[in-house]
Amino acid sequence: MPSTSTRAESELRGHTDPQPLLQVNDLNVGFALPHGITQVVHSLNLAVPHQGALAVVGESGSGKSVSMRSLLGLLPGTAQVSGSAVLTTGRGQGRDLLAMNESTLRQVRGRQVGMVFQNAMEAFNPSVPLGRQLTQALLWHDLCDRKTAQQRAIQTLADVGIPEPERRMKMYPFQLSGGMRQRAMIAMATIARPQLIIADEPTTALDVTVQKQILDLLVQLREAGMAMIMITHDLGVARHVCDEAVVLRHGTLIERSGIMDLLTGARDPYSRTLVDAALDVGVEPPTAEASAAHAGAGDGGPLLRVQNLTKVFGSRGGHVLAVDDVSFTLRQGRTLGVVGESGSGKSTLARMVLHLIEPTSGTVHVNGSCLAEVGTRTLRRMRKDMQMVFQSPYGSLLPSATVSENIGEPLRINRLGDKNERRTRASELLRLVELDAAYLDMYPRQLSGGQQQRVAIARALALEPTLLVADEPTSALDASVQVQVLDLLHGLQERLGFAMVLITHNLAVAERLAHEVMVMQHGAVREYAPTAQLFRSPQDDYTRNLLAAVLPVRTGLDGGPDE
Amino acid sequence: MTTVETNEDAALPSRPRSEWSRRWGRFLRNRLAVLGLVIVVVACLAAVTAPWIAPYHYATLGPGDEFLRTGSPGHPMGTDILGRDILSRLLYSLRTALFIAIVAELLSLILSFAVGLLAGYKGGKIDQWLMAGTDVMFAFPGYLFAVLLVAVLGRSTWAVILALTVGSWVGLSRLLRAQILKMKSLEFVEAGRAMGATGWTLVIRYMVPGAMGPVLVSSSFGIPANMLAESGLAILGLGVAPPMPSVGTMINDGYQFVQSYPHLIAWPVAVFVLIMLAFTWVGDGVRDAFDVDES
Amino acid sequence: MFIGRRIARMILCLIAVSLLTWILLQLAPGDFAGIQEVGGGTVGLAQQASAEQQSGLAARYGADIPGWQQYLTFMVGAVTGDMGPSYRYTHMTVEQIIAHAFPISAGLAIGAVVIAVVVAVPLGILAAVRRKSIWDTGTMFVATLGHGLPNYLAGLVLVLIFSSALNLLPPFGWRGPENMILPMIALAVSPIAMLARYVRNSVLENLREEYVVAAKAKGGRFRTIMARHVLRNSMMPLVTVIGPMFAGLATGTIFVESIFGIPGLGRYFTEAAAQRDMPLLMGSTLFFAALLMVMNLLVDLVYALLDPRVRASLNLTASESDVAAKAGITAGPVSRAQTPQSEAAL
Repeated sequence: MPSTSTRAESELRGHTDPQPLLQVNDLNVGFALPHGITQVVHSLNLAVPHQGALAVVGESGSGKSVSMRSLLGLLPGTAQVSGSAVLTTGRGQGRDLLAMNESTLRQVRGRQVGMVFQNAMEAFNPSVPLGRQLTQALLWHDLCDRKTAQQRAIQTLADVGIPEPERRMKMYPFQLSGGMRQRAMIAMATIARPQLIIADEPTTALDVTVQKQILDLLVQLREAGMAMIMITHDLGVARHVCDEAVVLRHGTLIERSGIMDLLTGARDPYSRTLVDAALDVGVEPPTAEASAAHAGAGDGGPLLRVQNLTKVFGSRGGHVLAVDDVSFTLRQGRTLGVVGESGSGKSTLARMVLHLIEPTSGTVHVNGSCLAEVGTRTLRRMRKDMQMVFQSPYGSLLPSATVSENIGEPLRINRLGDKNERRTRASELLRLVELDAAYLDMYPRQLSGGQQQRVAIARALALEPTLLVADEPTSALDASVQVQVLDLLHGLQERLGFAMVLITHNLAVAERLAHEVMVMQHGAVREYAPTAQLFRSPQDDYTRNLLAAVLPVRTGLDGGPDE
Repeated sequence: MTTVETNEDAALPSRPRSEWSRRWGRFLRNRLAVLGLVIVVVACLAAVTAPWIAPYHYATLGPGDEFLRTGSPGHPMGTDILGRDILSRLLYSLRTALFIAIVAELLSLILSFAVGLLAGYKGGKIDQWLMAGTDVMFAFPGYLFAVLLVAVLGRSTWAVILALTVGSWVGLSRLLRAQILKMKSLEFVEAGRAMGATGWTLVIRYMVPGAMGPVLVSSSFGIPANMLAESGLAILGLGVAPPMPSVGTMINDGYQFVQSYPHLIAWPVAVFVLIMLAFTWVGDGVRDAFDVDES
Repeated sequence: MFIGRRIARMILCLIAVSLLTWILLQLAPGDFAGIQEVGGGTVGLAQQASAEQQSGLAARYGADIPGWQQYLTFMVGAVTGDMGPSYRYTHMTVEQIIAHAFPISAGLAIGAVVIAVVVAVPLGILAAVRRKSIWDTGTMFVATLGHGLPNYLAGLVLVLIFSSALNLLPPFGWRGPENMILPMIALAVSPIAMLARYVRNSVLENLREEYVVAAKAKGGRFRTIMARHVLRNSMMPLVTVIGPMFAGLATGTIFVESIFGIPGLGRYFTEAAAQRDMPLLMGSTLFFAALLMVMNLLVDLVYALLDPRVRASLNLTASESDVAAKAGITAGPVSRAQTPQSEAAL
C-alpha cells in the first residue's frame, strides 16, 4: 500500500484530533415534495481530520452523495438542510459551511473544498475546451491573472499524469479517453489547491485497470497533504484510499470506525452484511467447482460448441473487429465465465452465442446443431432451450405487463399452455426465485432492482432451458443484492442442471460461479482456463494485470485468508 | 444465504397499477387538460347531434333577416349576410371540420403505421426507398401540396380529407420509424427476440406499445392542425363545396364586413379558438402523461 | 463530400417535386387555351397581353405541343433562368413575379422571426431560471395560448381586437407599414409559443446537467455559470429551430396573405393553383421547395460549425487515423486499433 505511512499517522491521531478539518454535526437533509418533506439524511455526525481520508460507504439510496453535496450547497433548491459543518482551515476559528450565505460559500467551493464527480463526461461542459474549464476555478476566485491561470492549468494537468498538457488545453472533453477525462476532472478539482477533496464515486464508471490508476493518483494527492472524503459503495476502494469509514444506510449513520476495524470486525450487523457481501478474488471457496463435482453435473456431454467466432462491425469510418476468432466448448451443467473490460467484445459474443447477432464468420453448435444452418423454424424451436438474462433488470422486462405476464411471456410466445396454466407456472417460478406470490400482479416498475432481476431469471427459466446466457446479471445491483442473486443463480443451476455462459467485468463474480473462465481483451481471448488455475497461476500478462488491479477487501488482513 | 433483503423494500407496494392507469391518473391531475378534454367532448357531441340541436338548417335563408345582431330573438348569435342563422351554421361547420380532421388523422395514422413500421423494422432497401419518398413529400413546404391537391381534385369533402392526409402522414411515419429504430436497441425487445419472438409479434407486442406515446401526442396535436388546415383551405376558396358551411367559409364571407358587423366572424373565430385551445391542452396533458421527450 | 451528397440529393428531390406537381396538373381538367379564355387577374398585375406575348406562350404551351415537351421546356427554363410568362399574368415572366412577390412574403417572415426571437428567448430563459414562479407558469400558459392560435386564427383575433373593436389598424390591404403590423404579429404568435417553450426546456435540461453542479463546485456565480455554460449550450440548438421556422413562415404565409390581402408569393401560388396557371405554379413550388431545402442545409452546416463534436467528427473523416491516434478519441464505437493507444497514453 503506497499510503501506509500516512494512514498510520492519522490512525494515531484518530478521533482525538482537537480541531478536525471538517466537523459535521447533526446534519439533516430533506427534499420538499408536493405532498410534504422527504427526509433523506438523519442527524449525521462525522469528522475529517486534517490530511485525513474518510470513506462514506453505503449502497444506493443511503444518502451518501446527498449528504456530502449538501455541505457545499450543491443540492437543488428543493433541498432543506440543517445542522452544522465546521470547516477549520489554517489556525483560525472554524467556520460553519451550512450557516454561510451563498457568496461566502462560493469562496469555499473549489478554493478550500474541491469536488470530484463520478462521471467526468457529464461533469465537464461538452462544448467548452478543457483549458477554459480548468482555469475558471482560478479566475472565478480572482486568484491570479489569465496567463498565470493558463500556466497553472498546464502544470496541474501534468501533475495528474496527463501527457502533452498544452495540447489538451484546447481539446474538448469528449476527445479524451475515460481515464484521461477522470484525471482532468481531478485536475479541475485540485487546481486551486483545496485542503479537502470530496470525491463522489470517482472510479465507479471506469474499468478496473483504469480505476486502479485513478485511485493511485488520489493516494498521491493524499500524500501531498490533501484531506479527502471518498463517497463509495466499494469497500475495496475505501480500503485502498482511506483510513476511516462511516457506513450509511437509508440516510442514517450505522457505524463509524477505522477502515481496517470495519473490515475485520464490524460491530453493526448491517456493516457486517456489507463486508460479507463484498466479493474478493482468490478467497471465496470455489463453490462452483466443489458443488459441480458433488452433483456430478460437470460430467455431461458438450452442449455448446463455439468455433472461430468472429464479428466485424462495419461502419463508414472503418471496420471494428468486435470479436476475434473465439472458440470454446461448454458441457451440460457447467458455467463459463467470460471476463473483460468495456470494449472487450464479451457482450457481442454472448449475443452471437444465442444468434441474436449473426457472426461474421465461425459457428455456434448447440446440442450438435449449427445455429446458422438450422433455418428460422428450427432456430425458433431451439430458442426454448437457450435463454438469456440481461444486465438491466428493469430494461429487459416488458413495462406494460405484470410480473406474471412477464414470466409467462416465453410460454406465450411459444404457444404453450393457456392463460391459467401460464399463471400457475409463473407462480411456481416465482417461488423458485424466492419471491412472494403477492408480486404476481405487480408491474416491474413497482419492484426493486434485485426483485426485478429475480423476475427476469424466472422468465428465463420458464421453458427449462439447457443453456442460460447471463450478461452482467448483477452489475446494476447493490453488492448485498448481488451476492443474493449470484447465490440464487448458483442454486438454481445445481437444481436444474442448465449450462451457463456468464458475462461479467468482475473477476470475483466469475470466480464465484464459473467452472472455467475466459478472459477477453479487444475481442480476442487472452486466457481460457479452469477457474482455480486461472486465479492461482494466470499465464497471460493481461490476466495478471486485471488480477493485480482488483482491490482487495478482506484479503491480506489479519485473520483473513492470505492474498 | 442471508434471508434479510438488505436493500430491498420488504413491504409490498400497495396495489398493482398498470402503465395505462398510471398515465390516466397523471392526465387527470392536469386541470387544463381535463378542461380541454371536456370541451373537446362537448364539441364532438355538438357536432354529431348538429342536425337535431341546430335551430335551423345551415342553408335556411331568413327573408329580411340579414345582418341580425347577436342576441336577436330566435338567432342567439345573429344572422349573416343572407340571413342564415350563425349558430346553426357554426354547429354544422364543426360537424364538417371534426369529421374531416378525425378521418384524415385516422387515414394518416394507418398510412404512417404501415410505412413507419415497415421502414423501421425491415430496414435496408425498403427503408431507403420509403424514406426517399418522404423526403420528396417533405420538400413540399407547409400546405402547398394540400392546396395543389384540392385545386386539382375540385372542392369536395373527400378531396380535403385526401389533401390533409397526404400532408400529414409523412411526419408521422418518420416519427414511427424513428421510434421503432429506438425500440430495436432496447433490452426488452432483445429479450423478446431471445425468447423466440419473431417478425410482427415482436413489432406489435414489443415495439408498438412503447412507440405509442409520441404517436398519441402527435395525433392529439394533429387533429386541431387538420381542423385549422380545413378552414384555411376554405378561406382560400378551396374548402368543402358550398352551401356546406365551414368555419373558413364563414370567415371568408364575413371578413369584408369585419368592421361594421364583427359578429359575423367573431362567433366562428371564438368557438374555433376555444376548440383549438382545448385540443392543445389535451395534447399537453397526453404529453405529460406519457412523459414524452420534447426534443 | 458530405455537402456534395446533400446537394445531389436536393436536386433529385427537386426533380421529383416538379414531376409530381406536373403529373397532378395533367390530371386536372382544363388546359392553356381554356384558361386563357377566363382571363382577368385578381391581384392587380394582369394586363392585356400583347400579341407577341400570346404567340410566345402558345409556342411554349400550345395545345399542339405534347405534355412531356412542355415539361422539358419549363424545366430547361427553370435551370437557365427563363421560365417564360405566366398563363394569367401574360405580360410578366414567372421570375419577375417571384422577384416581385417573394420579398413581401420573406419580409413578413423575417419580421415574424425577429419578433418571435426577441420575445420568446428572454421569456423562455426567465421561465426556466425562475422555475415554478409566476414568470414560469405565465409564460407557459401564454405558450399554450399561442400554440392553440396558429397563424391566421391569431390574425383574425387581432383583427377583431385592433380593427373592429379599437379601430386602430386596417384589416385589409397593402399600402403602408400599418398594413404590416397585424400580419407580422399574427405570424409570430405560434413561433413565440414554440420558441419560448423550446428555450425554457433547453435551459432547464442544461441546468439539470452535472456540469452545472461541477461549475458551482468550482466556485462560480450563478450568473457566470448561466452565461458561460448554460446559455451557450442551450442556445446552440436554437439554430436548428429558427432556420426551418423562417422557411416555414416564408412559405406558410398563404392563409395570412389571403386574409389580409397581401400580394405575397403565397397569394400568387394560391391563385395559380386555383387557376391551374402551370408555369407560375411550377415555378413557385420549385422555388419554395428549393428555399426549404437550402435553409435545412444551411442549418445543418451552421450547427456543425457550432458543435465541437460535429466539428471533430468532420475532421475525423478528413484524416481519421491521424487525429484519432493522436487524441485517443473514443467517440463512436471503440475500435481495436485505437484503444491500446489511448490506454497506453495513461
